[in-house]
Amino acid sequence: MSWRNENNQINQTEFAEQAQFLEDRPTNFFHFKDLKKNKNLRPFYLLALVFFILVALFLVQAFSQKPPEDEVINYQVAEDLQLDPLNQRVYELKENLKMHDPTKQSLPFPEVDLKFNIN
Amino acid sequence: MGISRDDVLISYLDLLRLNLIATEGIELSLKAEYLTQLETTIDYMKNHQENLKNLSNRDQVALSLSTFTADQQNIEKLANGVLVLLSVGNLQIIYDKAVALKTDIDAYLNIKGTFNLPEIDRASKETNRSLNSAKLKLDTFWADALNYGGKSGYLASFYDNLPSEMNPVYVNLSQSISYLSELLSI
Repeated sequence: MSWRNENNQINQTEFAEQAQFLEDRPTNFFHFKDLKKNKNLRPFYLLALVFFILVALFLVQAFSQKPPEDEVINYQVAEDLQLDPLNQRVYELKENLKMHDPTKQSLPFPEVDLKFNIN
Repeated sequence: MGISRDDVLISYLDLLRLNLIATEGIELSLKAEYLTQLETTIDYMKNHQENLKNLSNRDQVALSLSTFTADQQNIEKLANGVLVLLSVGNLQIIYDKAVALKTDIDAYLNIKGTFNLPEIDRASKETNRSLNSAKLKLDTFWADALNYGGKSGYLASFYDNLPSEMNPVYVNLSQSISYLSELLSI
């Protein structure tokens, strides 16, 4: 009699589909220890290992990489320090000659109309 | 239009004047002669510009512009003459510095005790040869420029041939500097 009372709905106008589907909440949460019961854990360990290797490689690359501009500046500074006074004078002379190539004209006469008139 | 043109020309000629003053390798008499011509032309331009600003009559403006055209027929020749002086003057400076550097390198190699090595002797002779060749061409240019004078338009006519005339000097100087570098690296 009591069993019949429990399953009987009080509201007789409610359809069976509208009633709550799962009445009980799950009581057992996921525990890592439960995985040990699984017989085939090899793919899981392999995936975890690959993930850790990738993270480690990314970190190593991120820390070992330096900005390229710094390298260029350091190289130039080192080169300047290595030049002794005589080599420095040769270098300056070479650069000076490049700037005064007679085949290149840096100050040509401006393009103005010297015969301009309003008539 | 006339006022703006004067502005452009005044700025350009002033730039040439400052460059001429700053360049040391130019024969002093030619430098002084061209500086005077530049300053006279700049003064003329400034007066002409002031005059144009004060004119209100169309005929007067037309007359002023015609006078300018007649008076400044040779302004481009003047500029080209200065450009030749600047170009050759700069090569002369490089030649003078290269000769001074060669003397210092010889002294350094003597102290180092390597001056009589065959490869150094060869590089040293090659340096002297190319420097002498550059000197010969530069001396010829200055002698001709002084003989024909600045006013005759010799330098302005030289302007068109400047690359071909001065390129051998450039090549000689370039070779000399390479030999100097070689002397230090042996």
